[in-house]
Amino acid sequence: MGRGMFFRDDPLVLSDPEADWTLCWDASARTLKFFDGAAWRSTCVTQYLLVVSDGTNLIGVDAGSAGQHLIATGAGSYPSWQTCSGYDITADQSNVGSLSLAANKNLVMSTCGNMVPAAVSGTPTEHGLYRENVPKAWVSFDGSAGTVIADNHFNVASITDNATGDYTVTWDRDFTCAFYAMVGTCQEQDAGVGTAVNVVAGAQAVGSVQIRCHIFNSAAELDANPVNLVALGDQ
Amino acid sequence: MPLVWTMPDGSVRVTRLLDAILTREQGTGETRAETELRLAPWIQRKTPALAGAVASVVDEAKIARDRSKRYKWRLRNGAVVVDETIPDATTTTLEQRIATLEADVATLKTP
Repeated sequence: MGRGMFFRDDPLVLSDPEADWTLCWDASARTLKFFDGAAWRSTCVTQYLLVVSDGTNLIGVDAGSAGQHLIATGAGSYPSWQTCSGYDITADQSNVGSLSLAANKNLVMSTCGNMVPAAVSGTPTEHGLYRENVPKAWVSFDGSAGTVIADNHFNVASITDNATGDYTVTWDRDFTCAFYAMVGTCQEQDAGVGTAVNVVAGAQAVGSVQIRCHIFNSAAELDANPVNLVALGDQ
Repeated sequence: MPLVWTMPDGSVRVTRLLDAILTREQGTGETRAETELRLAPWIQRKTPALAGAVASVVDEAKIARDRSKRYKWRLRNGAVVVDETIPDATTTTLEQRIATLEADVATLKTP
């Protein structure tokens, strides 16, 4: 009898009459059943089962306890069930499948690493992160400089000075359609004058958007600094 | 160096590509200006309003600084200059707009 066996769909029966142990694989029910000398027991295949032998005979079957993890203990040694309460990262044992970080622990991505959340399905979970609620692009630039200068930005390829107070921001990665949401603010050089950012009619495309900065209640455009823009939508 | 687009009506638009994009896209042995010119069609495809515009790279120092006459900017001999032959805009100044608003307020306050 070998050590460290892994059961799949193959018909399998293991028996040790002296120890009164019998295991068999019920392929139709996808269930591993074992007789422990008193009764037949079953276990679900979605749970891990530790089968241990002494090299000749089957000496034990251990399903572990709820919340435990099967931990490798090194070459030539049997793995063992261990409680992982002391770990910084814990996996939910239920079907919810959540992964938890201990208090004051951070999830840090390496360079160029990223986390891509899934699309929302149904009512969003409170505070949940979905691909729909991730800002896809933003920029803060000086629209009053000789040539427009981006101070800070994400997913922006270029900024074009079209005319006074009139700018086009080009995205590095395009949106999948032109119907994405934007929020914009701008500030005039002379304090105390209200301003607004407008999207030029028909000038919101998948790869760019044209905006104009206005003084409130006026059609005239003005060079603003800073001009801020945030865009959310599907990419 | 900015990309300068000459529009069919003669006006110009000035595009500054982000440094991160230029650094990422710059080919081996390629100057920044060459990279910008190579990326110009990419920017143009993303920007419908640039259809029909002609791109050129202009040294930053050769771009006009007077934004009060932004509407008079034109590309002349490799430089963006203020073309004084273009008529003045008819838009009102900020001071004129404030005066108009103050007059409106005074009118509203009149019994």
